[in-house]
Amino acid sequence: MRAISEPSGPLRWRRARRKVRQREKRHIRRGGLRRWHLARRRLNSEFVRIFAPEVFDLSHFVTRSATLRFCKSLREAYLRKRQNVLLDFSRTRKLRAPGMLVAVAEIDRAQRMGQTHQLLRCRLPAAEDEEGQIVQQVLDQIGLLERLEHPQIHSDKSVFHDTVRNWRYATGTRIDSKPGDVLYEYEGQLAPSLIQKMNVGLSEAVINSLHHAYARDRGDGCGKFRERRWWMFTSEDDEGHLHVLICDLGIGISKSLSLPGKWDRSLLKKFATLFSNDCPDVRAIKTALVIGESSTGEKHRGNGLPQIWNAVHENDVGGVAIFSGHGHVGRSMETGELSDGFYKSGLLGTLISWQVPIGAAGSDSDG
Amino acid sequence: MDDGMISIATDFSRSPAGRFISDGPASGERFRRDFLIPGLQRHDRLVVDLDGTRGIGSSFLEEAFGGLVRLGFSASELMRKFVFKTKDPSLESEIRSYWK
Repeated sequence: MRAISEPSGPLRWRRARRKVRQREKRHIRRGGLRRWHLARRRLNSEFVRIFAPEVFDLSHFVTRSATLRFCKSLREAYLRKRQNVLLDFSRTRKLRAPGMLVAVAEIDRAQRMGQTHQLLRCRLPAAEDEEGQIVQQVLDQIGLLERLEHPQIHSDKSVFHDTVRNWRYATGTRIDSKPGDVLYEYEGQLAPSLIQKMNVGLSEAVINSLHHAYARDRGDGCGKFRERRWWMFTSEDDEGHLHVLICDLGIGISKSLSLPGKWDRSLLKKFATLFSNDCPDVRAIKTALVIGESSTGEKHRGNGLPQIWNAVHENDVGGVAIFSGHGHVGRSMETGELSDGFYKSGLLGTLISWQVPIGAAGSDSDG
Repeated sequence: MDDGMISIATDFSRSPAGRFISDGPASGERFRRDFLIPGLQRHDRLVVDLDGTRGIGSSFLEEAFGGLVRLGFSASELMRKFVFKTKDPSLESEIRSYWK
């Protein structure tokens, strides 16, 4: 076979000129942008951008509805429409542990329920000021950046801000030593009896999630989540309080109590009249706190919630709060004040939060 | 009288939690199956040390000790056979309340 020789002379020169002209035309068609730039733009157009709220929180009704709207948008795009999602944290300035835990749990759940080819990525806020830096560091500290395949902020997490270094995250589908291990990192900083009671409260919260939260479909239109999963955070605030939070993304306490054949109907009716002035979700939380009957109707079962509530109660320090559906019931141990509230936006799940001052409990001798 | 001795913290787990075996590795059902029932069959009296753990929840206690009644052990037999060693007397009274 004869080899084709390269053209030479004027023919070669004309071909080279034509190639340059074609390249110039393509460049003009792209509006002066380079090809890699276009590729990136193409990638962005395949993603649905969801802006994260300025403040992640569950207590205040404005920030709460923004946080829960973010979670809903994520479910809608990623799980219902099966789209790739870019979580844009560029406007986020503050991360409060309860709001952040629910958001992280929703992201984790979405990734576990999503299809393998789907992408979930994030954009961070600028690190121009301290607030932006703290948001970046928290997302890195709790392992969210790794999950969203974003490069980590710093390989050495000990350089992070004081309030960031103490954020801890755990999740699981069973009750093992994992929640206790996170809590026992504070051994020596909290009274042994307090830490023991909080550990009992934590494990009872996990058991409640495992036995009741996932008994039925959550009703968010995303299909059934096949895991009985819980998520947990510990964090410290500027005022020296330790926050321990645990949540599930299940049916909530109100729906759990109304499951047919699960609870003693006559007892439920009694408590419903007792708390008749409260909204349904607040009534359900208060009923679950006092009810001593089991999910199977047998005596002595299902009494974990009072232990959760009493974890800090007997120590007269800190506080406890339970969020489920549209309701919230909390108690400050210092003042002894009981608070409850109704929110317009409903949390699809249950979140329990304890708050104790670090070091204030001192040490006791019964550990 | 033949006495058996079980320490939850050293023989079973420092973090006993959960009701059923499906809940986790240190559940009440597992403790009852592997320690309490064989102990009751072998010994006239069973001393259970409840101290040294990271805390014991109601769901664990109810399934482990209350579950014995559901399996056919009589309340009077359990009251007689069990001796509890603990610094927290509320744990013992909680367990005994499951047999009433």
